[in-house]
Amino acid sequence: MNCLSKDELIDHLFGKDRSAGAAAEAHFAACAACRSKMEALKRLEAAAASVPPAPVSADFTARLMERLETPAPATAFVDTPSVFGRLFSPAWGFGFAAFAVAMYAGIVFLAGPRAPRPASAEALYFSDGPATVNSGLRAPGGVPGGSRAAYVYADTCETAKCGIL
Amino acid sequence: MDLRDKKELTLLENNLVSRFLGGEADAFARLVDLYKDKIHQFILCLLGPDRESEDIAQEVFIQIYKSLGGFRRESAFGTWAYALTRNVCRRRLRDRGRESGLFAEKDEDREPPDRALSVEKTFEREEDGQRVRAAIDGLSPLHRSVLFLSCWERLSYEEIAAALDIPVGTVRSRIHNAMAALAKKLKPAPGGNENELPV
Repeated sequence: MNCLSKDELIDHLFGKDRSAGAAAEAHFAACAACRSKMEALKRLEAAAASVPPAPVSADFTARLMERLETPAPATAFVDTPSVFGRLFSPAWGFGFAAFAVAMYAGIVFLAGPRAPRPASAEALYFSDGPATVNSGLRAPGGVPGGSRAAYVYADTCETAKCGIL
Repeated sequence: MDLRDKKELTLLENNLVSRFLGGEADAFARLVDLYKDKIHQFILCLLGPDRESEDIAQEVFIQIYKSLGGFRRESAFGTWAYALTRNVCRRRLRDRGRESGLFAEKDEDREPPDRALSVEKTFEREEDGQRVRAAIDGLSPLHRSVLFLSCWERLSYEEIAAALDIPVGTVRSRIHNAMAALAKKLKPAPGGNENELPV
């Protein structure tokens, strides 16, 4: 038998046929070199196996079983309301109320006496008839003494035909 | 642990697992007692000296407790437990941001100087057991873990492969490299070669 390779030496020591290969044993008896290598490997294995596992503390199992028996700390109960319920939460309530007030104020402003009114169509109408008084127009920049001003439409503005004197 | 012990251990583990799944909490406590030191040592192999090693061992057993219902007994309980331990350690290292080096081969030249002890002398003095432990502690996580599983736990190549998540064909070379690294740590002063591995 030829000398054993390093893989064969490792297999002899750690493989399925640990120390069971009769042919290898016969070779070790005859070959001092392989025997020496195998002895060196066995010494190393014995050295590694001589170091026992580092023990855990004495109460390790008791602490572990206590942890396993103790239910996990309950998380703070959070009541998650339904979508419908959330609509009636205080924040949404205030929001709805603010929206309603804004809508009401807008309607009152637009429908009330101070609501802006569209300019009368007459203001843009050029008449060929006799001069009339339009009381629906406001004077640009306001007129002292009153909010309404009288404007006279006439055909006499020859230059610009604007209708305003 | 000889082969007979290993078979007896496997029978005992299977019995305890069955009893636990049947509702006996004490059976799990016995499983913990059987494996707590070995799981702890395996964690130390993977992570090195770690002040959280016991906490991690507790986390491993909690994982085992939760997962035991899914244990299909295709492998031995120990192999399954070691694989689970490896995953917990890997997750812990990932959380710490240093996972990449866990199973990487390391350049042993960077290790501290050898202590110039022969293996024979190692066994002559009581305190030299600590030196062997120090030499093993100086190895890479991969070498430490493969030495623990092969020399102490006497697992087969297939079991080591499953525990370390490496191909079966790689186990032999990993053992050889680990033995060579340990021999380098324990070899006598320059000139001596009695413990040199046949590389």
